[in-house]
Amino acid sequence: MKGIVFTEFLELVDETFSPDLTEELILECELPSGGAYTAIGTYDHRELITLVVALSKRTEIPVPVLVKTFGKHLFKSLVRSFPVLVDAKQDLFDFLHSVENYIHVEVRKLYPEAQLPKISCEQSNADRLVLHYQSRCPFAHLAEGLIEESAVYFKTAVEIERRDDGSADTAASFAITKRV
Amino acid sequence: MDQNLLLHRYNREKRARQAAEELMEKKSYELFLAHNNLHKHADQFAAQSEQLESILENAGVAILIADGGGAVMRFNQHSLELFPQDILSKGLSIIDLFAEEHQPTATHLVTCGSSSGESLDLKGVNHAGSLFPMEVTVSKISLHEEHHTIWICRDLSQREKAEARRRELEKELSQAQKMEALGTLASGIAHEINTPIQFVQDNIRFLQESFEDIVGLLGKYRQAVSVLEATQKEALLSGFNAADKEADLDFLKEELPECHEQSLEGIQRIGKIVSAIKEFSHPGNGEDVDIDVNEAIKTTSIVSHNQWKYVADLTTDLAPDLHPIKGNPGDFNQVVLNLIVNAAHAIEEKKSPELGAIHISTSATSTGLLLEISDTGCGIAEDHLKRIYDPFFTTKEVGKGTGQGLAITYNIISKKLGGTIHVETEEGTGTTFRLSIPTHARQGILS
Repeated sequence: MKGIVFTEFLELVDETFSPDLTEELILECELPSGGAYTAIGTYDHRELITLVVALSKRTEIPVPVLVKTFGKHLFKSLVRSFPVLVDAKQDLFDFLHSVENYIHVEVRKLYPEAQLPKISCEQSNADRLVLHYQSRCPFAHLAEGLIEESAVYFKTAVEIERRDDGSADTAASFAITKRV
Repeated sequence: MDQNLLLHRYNREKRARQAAEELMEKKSYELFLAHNNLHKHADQFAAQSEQLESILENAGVAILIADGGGAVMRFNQHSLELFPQDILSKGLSIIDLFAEEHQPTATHLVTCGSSSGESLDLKGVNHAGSLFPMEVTVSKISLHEEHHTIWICRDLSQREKAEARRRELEKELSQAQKMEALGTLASGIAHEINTPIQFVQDNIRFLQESFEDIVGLLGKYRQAVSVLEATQKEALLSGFNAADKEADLDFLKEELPECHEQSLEGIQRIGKIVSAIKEFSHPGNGEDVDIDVNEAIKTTSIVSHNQWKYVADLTTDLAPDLHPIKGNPGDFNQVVLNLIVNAAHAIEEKKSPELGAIHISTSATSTGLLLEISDTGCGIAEDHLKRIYDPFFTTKEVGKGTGQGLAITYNIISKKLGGTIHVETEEGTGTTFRLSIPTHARQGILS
């Protein structure tokens, strides 16, 4: 998993809770990387899971809520860091289509070793799109947070209906309907 | 923040920075390599582009690119040598480069291109406004997702001139072959003419002497009439009798009509040979005409008489109801001559004490006619059979054959007259050549 996800997660803990908690979590989790993350590095996704679970224990906030919240935070960070990949004039659905067809293509050019989730979109009409998420990492809630925040970014009111396609949070479908 | 935690963060951030620096270093190096690679590819691409440009510009054909509406977008140097410059440089319609009669075809090609790379023979307009023949291939391509066409136009003027020259040379060669054949036959023909000339000459000398005798006898008769009343009757009678004896009127009465007849026959024979030679050697005007096959066989038999008369009897069985074939009479005569001479040589080679036989027959078939030439010669060995139509293949002794006869025969029958040739042979027994040739009417259908 790309290092930016880890650095953004630690930044979220810093901002939302406290830098002390961030360091305590890292010490407590005894991570193989020692938590010395850099945005351009690549790390084992299980370290993130360990951190989230530890944070959940400390804060008594359920893991799914934390991951989804992190998804929202991550979207804003990504847009800030890579504005060239997000065309603000786009429609929400155009953007979601471009995740697999454009953004992931560009990410692979920069980081050929990146293991990205597989995203596919089915759009039956102008107001409804079903996004299928599939990954080796259990981050369907992260995807949900990213989708929700992208709707905010594109100023589109939507209803998202989630259906899990597996039990381990590795596959899910999101039926997104624009609200009139 | 707790001091220990702060120290922990400091160390962690420091390690992260170091890791980031190492990664940056690695990425920079990768970028450097990628940049070098890109440079190399760009150079290769530029070289390839230059090469393609050079090929395009120096191609011996006009290459043009037109857009979907037919406007000329790009053209090579050779195009400027063929077509009007203003049409090309102003990007006008490519259709204007074609003769009016071919503009509808060009319009179709702008839309569809030529089917599966097929070449079309069309007329173009050159910079002087004259028409010229060209071969055109049009390919449909997509440039920037728009329909375009690539036109490759080859000027055929030079090729057509070369083709005309080739036809002229072929005609000259055919005539030279005929002359060569005549040259080979010349001594025989001279002998053929010499024999009747000899006896016609003897007969004329005989007529001359006989005439002198008759004139002498007539003088005596006149003298007798004038002096019938004179006294020297005895002397006169004696002179009269002597002249009568000298003239031998009874003998002359018997011999002179036969002498006249023989001389006339001799002269007719010479006339026949001379007209056969004339017929045989006539160059023609290069165009195909109707050929009377039977007449050609008769003519060639006469011309070649001296080639076969010492070794064989030549008989014919010619069907009277044959349609003419269309072709060059000289070519056909050459075929018959080659086959007769080969037959005579085969009979000679057999070294039989008896006279051999050459038989020529013609008959009508459903598609044309069948010409058969058989001989009782030595036949053709099986291992030679598949090579007999190869140029320069001969089994004859040096000076007797050049190995061209059957090669020329095959070429004329199969390529020029649209016929087929089959051979049937048995070593020591003889050979039959069967020529199947479509007649005029049939050739018309075929063409």
